Amino acid sequence: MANPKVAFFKFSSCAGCLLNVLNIEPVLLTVLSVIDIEFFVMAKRENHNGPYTIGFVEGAVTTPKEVLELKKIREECAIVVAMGTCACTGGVPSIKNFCGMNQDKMTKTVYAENIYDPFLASIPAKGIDHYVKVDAYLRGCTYDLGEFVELIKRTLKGEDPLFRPHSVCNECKLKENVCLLVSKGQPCMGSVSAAGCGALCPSLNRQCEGCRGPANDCNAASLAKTFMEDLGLSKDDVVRKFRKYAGNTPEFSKGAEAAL
Amino acid sequence: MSDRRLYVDYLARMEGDGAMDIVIGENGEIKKAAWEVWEPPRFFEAFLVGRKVEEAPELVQRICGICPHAHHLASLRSMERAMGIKVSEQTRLLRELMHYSDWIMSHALHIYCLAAPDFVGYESVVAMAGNPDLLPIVGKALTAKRLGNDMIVAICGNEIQNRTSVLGGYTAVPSKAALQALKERLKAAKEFAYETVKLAVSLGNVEPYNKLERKAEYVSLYDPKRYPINEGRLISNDGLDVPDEEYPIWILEKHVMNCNCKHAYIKGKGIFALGPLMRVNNNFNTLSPDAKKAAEEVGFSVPCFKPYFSIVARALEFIHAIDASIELIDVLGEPKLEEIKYEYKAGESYAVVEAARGSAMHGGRVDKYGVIQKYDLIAPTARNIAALEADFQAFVPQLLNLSDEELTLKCEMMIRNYDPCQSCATHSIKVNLRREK
Amino acid sequence: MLVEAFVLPKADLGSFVAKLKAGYEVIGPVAKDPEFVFAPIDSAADLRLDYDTTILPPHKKYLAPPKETLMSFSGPAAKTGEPAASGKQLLFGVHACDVNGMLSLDKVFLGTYPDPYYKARRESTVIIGLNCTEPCENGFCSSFNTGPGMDTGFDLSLTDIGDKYFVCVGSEAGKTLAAGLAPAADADRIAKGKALRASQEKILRHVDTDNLGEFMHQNVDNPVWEDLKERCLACGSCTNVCPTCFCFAVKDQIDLSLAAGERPRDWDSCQYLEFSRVAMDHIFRPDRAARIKQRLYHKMTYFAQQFDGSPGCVGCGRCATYCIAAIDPVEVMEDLRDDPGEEKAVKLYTPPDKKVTPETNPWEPLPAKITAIKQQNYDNKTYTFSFVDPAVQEKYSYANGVFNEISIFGIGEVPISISSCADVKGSFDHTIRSVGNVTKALDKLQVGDIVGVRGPYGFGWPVEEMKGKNVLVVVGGVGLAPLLGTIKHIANHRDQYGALEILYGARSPKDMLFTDEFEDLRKIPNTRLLLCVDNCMGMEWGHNIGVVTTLFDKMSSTPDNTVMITCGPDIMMRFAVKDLLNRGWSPEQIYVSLERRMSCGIKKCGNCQIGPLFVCQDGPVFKLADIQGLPEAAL
Repeated sequence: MANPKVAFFKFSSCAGCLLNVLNIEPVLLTVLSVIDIEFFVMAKRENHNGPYTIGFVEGAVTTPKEVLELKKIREECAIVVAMGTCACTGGVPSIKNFCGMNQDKMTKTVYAENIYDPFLASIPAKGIDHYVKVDAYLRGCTYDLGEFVELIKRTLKGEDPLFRPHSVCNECKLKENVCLLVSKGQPCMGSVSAAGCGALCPSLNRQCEGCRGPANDCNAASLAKTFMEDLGLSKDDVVRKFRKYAGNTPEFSKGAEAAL
Repeated sequence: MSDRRLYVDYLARMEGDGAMDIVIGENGEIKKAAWEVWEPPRFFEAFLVGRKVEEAPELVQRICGICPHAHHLASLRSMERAMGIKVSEQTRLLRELMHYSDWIMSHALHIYCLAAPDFVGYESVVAMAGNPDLLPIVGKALTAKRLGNDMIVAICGNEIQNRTSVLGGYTAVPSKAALQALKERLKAAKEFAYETVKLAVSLGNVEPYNKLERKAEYVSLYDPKRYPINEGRLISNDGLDVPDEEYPIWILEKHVMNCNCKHAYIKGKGIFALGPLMRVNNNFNTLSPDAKKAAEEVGFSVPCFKPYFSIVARALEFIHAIDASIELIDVLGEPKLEEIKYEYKAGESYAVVEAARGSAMHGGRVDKYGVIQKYDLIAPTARNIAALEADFQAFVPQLLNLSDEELTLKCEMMIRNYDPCQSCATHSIKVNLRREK
Repeated sequence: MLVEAFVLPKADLGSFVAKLKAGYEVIGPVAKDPEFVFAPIDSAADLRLDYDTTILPPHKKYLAPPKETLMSFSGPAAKTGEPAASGKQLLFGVHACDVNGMLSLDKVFLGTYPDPYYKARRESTVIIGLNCTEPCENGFCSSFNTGPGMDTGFDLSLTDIGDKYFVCVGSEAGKTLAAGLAPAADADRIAKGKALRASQEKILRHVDTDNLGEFMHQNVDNPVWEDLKERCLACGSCTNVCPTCFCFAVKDQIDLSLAAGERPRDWDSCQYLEFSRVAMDHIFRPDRAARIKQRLYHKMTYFAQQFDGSPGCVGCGRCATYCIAAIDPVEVMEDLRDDPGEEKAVKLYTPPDKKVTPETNPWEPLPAKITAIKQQNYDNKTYTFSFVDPAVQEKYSYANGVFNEISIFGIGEVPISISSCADVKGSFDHTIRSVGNVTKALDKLQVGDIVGVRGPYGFGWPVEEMKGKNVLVVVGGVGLAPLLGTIKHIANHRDQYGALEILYGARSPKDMLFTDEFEDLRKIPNTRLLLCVDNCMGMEWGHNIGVVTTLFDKMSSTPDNTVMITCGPDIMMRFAVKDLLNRGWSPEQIYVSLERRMSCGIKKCGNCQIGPLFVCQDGPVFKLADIQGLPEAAL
C-alpha cells in the first residue's frame, strides 16, 4: 500500500506549528518513511499539487483569499487536520476580534496607509472549522508532539485517535501537582481547558492560560465567578483571560460574558 | 527580445508566505526586483493596546515560531524598563542561555535545513537525507538542532513557545543536573560546529558567491565586553552609536515610489542591513576564542560584505553560542527558584535584542494599572527588505549569463541569506500587490 | 482482650525508620510546599508526620497508581508480557481515613475477578498507620467511623501521646517490625484513648448518616443538585483525590511499527462528559447535575450497597479542599437535610452474590479465530469464533444473554453479547455493527484472522425461572442478538417451557436481524412471531407498522404464569415495561437487559454503573423488581 500523501499549509500564524513537525527528531526519519510529504513549502522547494490524503492546516483565517484557499484544501484533502490553536479556535490572532477597535482603526494603528486590495483585507480571525469541516484537531499553542505522532499512527491505521477532551486538572492531579488555584491563589484556567499537554504549564509553576481551548462541558462562567470573587481579579482581567487563545469558542465566550 | 521575468509565487524554505518578482529588461537593466510578502497581518500592535503588560511577552512570542524568544525578550526588557523593574542576575543569565539555545537551534536549522540544500543542489533536507553520503551530516545537523531544542525545553518547558519566562523572572528553573547534562552535549557538539564552519566556507567560497559583494551599512547591538545577544548599544559600521532604547528615534521608515514596501533607514543616513553577518562584522573581537580561531583557520575576516557568506557568519556564531552556553551553565551552577515580585507603574521604554536573524526591537507605553496604551515592534526581516532589493540590483546584472532556472535559484538564495521570517515582517509591509499578467 | 501494643519514643524514630529501610522502600508524608504528598524518604528527617492531608491518597497512589500497564503486545492477539512484580514497599504514617479507603478499595479490586496488579502491590505493601490527634481542616471522618483512629487495616498503627508514639500491632508482619520496642504500659493505653477521644471531639464537621441510603434515594430530585450544577466545573479533581474512587480508562498505546505496544489503564472520572459515551455518540449522563449526583451518591450510599456496607466516603475532606468551586459534601448534605424531598418507601439494591476467582489473569484476552462470517443485514455481521487453544474452547461455556470482551491489541476492547445458542459447543457467535475503532477494525477481518476474547461475563436470561411458564419476548432492533440464543434454547428444550411469543420491532425492514431464520422460528411448536416496523421505507412489508408496543394489543400473552424478557433501545424497553405494568403485569415477571458503557466487564473500571448496580456483573440481565425505582435506572 502506498504511503499516504501529506501536505502542510499555513494561514495567519507564526509557523511554530509547522516548525514543530521537524522537532520529532528521534522518530523524524521513521515518520518520513511511512508518509510522503508532498507539499511543505517551509521545508521543501519541490512541492506537488493534490489530491492529498492528509492536509495539516496551521493558522487562523483572516482574509478572503485564505477562505478560498481553505475551501480548495478541503476539496483536495481526504482528511483535514486543524493544527495548532490558531487553526482550531482562531488563537492569538483572534484577539483582534475583541480588542475594541474596528478594522479600519486597527489598520491605521499598525500601518501608515490603508490596505486597499479587498482580496487581502483583514476579516475577523476564525479557526478553520468556521469555514470547512475538520476531521481532527491538534490543540495547543503549540500542540503536543506526542499527540501529533499519535494522530499520524492512528490515521495510518484508519482509526479515530480518540483524544480525550477532559480538563487539565486531571493531568495535574495524576502528577500530584500542587493546585496553583486552590493552594496558591493563581488564576489558572486548567479546569476549563482541554487536556493533552500533560499539564505542562502548571507543572512548571505557571498557571494554565487555556491555550488548548475549552474542555468538554467546561463551566467557564463558574470559573469566571471564582476568579472575581475568590481571587480578586477585575472584570477586565477575566475578560482578557477568556479572550486570549479561544475567545471565539462559545464556551470561553460564556466566561467573558459572565464578567461583562 | 523581450524582458526576462523570474517569478516564484510561494518562496520555499523560509518562514511565512512570500513571493519574488524580478523583471530584467532587454539590455540587462533591472526593471523590477521585488520581494513581496503575502503573509497576512495579524495586527499585534493594535490588539496589544488594552492588554496587561505581563501579557505582552507571552503574546508577542506568537509573532514567530522560529524566533519567539527574541520577541519575548525584547518585550520583557522594554516593559521592565518602562516600569522600572530590576531582575536578578540569575534571571539575566537564564535569559541569555535561553536565547543562545535558540541561536543554536535556529542556526542549525537555517544552515542545514533552509540554506544548505540550495548550495548542494537538493530541494530539501529530506531529499539530502536520501543520499547515503549526505545522510551522516544530516543526522548530525538534526542532532545539533535537537540539542538546541532540548536546551530550550530545559529552560522554557516547551520547544517553541516558552512557558516559564515571565515578566520579572522565571516560574521554574532547570536543575543543576539537567544543565550539566546539557553541558556535556554542548561539548560533544563542538566538533560538529567546527565541521559546519568548514562546510559553510566550502559552500560560500565558490563562484559566483564569493564574487558577489556589496558594501553596506550594517546595524547590530554592540558591547565592548561581550558578544551582544540580549543587551548592548545600537550601532552600525558607519557611525551610528546610540542606546538601544532610542531605536524609535533613529530607525525610521519611508515609502519609496514603485516599491511594494516601506524602506527602513537610519535617521540622517540611508538603508541598512541586520543579521549574523552584520553582527560578526561589528563584534568580531568579542566572539569566543574558539570561534575566532576557526575564522582564522578558514581565512574568514572582517569586514566582509558578501551576503552569501552569511552562512559562514552563522556557523561562527554557532561555535560562539556553544562556548557562551557552556560558560553560562558554569556560572549559573544550581539555579534557585526566585519569587517574582513587581508593581505596576506608568512608563514608556524600548529595547533591542539580537534574534538569530538580526535585531528585534520592541517597546511601548504602560499606564499606572499596567494596561498597555501603545505598543511598537519591529522585526529584523522587515528592516532587511531594502538591503535585499539593493542586493538584487547589485548582483543580478553579474549573473545574467545563467539560465532562468539557475538565476531564479540564486535570487531565492539571496533572500534566504537574510533568513527571513515573513510572519514577523508582515506587519510593517504594505501588502497591496497587484499581479501583472 | 487487649491488643498487643508497644511504645516508640520520638527520639528513636530515626533509628526505627532506618531499620525499616533495610527491608522496604519506605514511603511517607513529605512537604510539597504548601501541601503534602507521600513520597519515598531517605530518612526520618524527611517525614512530616504533622501533615494534615495529602493531595493524593497514599494507598491509591501506591496500590492502584494513576497509570498502570496491564500488558504489552505485538500483533492483534499476541500478548508479550506483563509488568514485573514490584518490590516491597512500606507506607509510613497513613491516616485512618486513607486506611479505611484502602479497605474499601480492597472490596473493589480483591472481590470478584481479583485484580492481579492491585493484589501484587497490596500483598507486598506494609501499612503503618498514624492516628490523628488533631483533626484536619476539612475532615469529617467521625461521621463514618473512619477516623480519627483506626481499628483495623494496618500492620502497625501509631498514636502521638507526647514524647512517644503508642504502637498498636495489627498483624503478624507488624509484630515482627515492632520487635525490640518496649511494651506499652497501662498509662500509655489510657493516654492513647484520651488523645483519640479529644481528637474526635474537636471534629466540628459532620454528616448526618441517619438512614443515609434511603435519604439519598428520596432526594434524587432535590433542587440542591441544580444549584450545584451551576458551580461545578466538571474538572474531575474531586474524584482524583478521593480515597475510594477507583474508576479508570483503558486505552491501547502503539509504537510506530503500528503492531507492538502496551495496554495501560489511567485514572478516569465519572465527572467527564465522555465517561458515559458509547458508540454513535450517545452519552448516558450528559447533564452535569446527573454526574455530580453520581459521585456524591456513590460516596454516600451506592458504594455501600455495592460492596457489603463498606463506606464509600471516609470523610477525608479532600474533595472539599481541592474543589475550585468550593463544593463541599458536608454543606451539600446539610442543604439536603434542611429541605428534604418526600419521605417515601425506598428499596436499596442488593447485588447478586457472585464471586469469580479465575486461575489466570482476568485481563488477558485469549486468542480466538474467526471461523465464519455472515453478512446479517446492511450493517451487521455475525462472526463465528473458536478459541485457538482447543482445551480453552472445550472448557468454555456460557449462559444465553451474557457477553464477551473482544480485544484487538493496539485498538482496544468492546463488550458484545453472544448471539449463538449456548447449547452449541465448539464455537460461539457475535453479531456486530461497525461503529467505533474496534468494530471498524473487526469489519475488515477475514475468516482465519485471530482476535482476543475474554469472558463470558454477567448474568443471562433466567431460563431456570422460565421453566414451566409461558415466555413473552419483546425485542427492539439489534436487541434480538442477545435474545436469539435463548429462543433457540427454548426450541431445543421445547417441552420444558409453555407458549412462546416473540414481538419484534425495528425502525425499518432492513434494520431487522436474522430475517432468514424467521421461518424456522415460526416452525417452533406453540410459538408466535409478530413483527412490526416504524416505517417500511417503501419496501414490501406484509406486517404491522408502528412501534413494538403496538403489538401488545395483538399478542396472546397474559400476565398469567408468564415470564417476559426484553432487550432493545432504552426508550423501547421503558415504554414496553410501562405499558405491560399498566396491563397488570408484575415487575417480578419482567426481565430487562441493560446496556451502558462497559469496558472491563469485571466490575473494576466503574464505567457501566447505573445507580448502585454494575451492568457488567450484576446484569446485564436484571429482574425489573430488583432495579425498579433505583436512580438512573429509569424503569
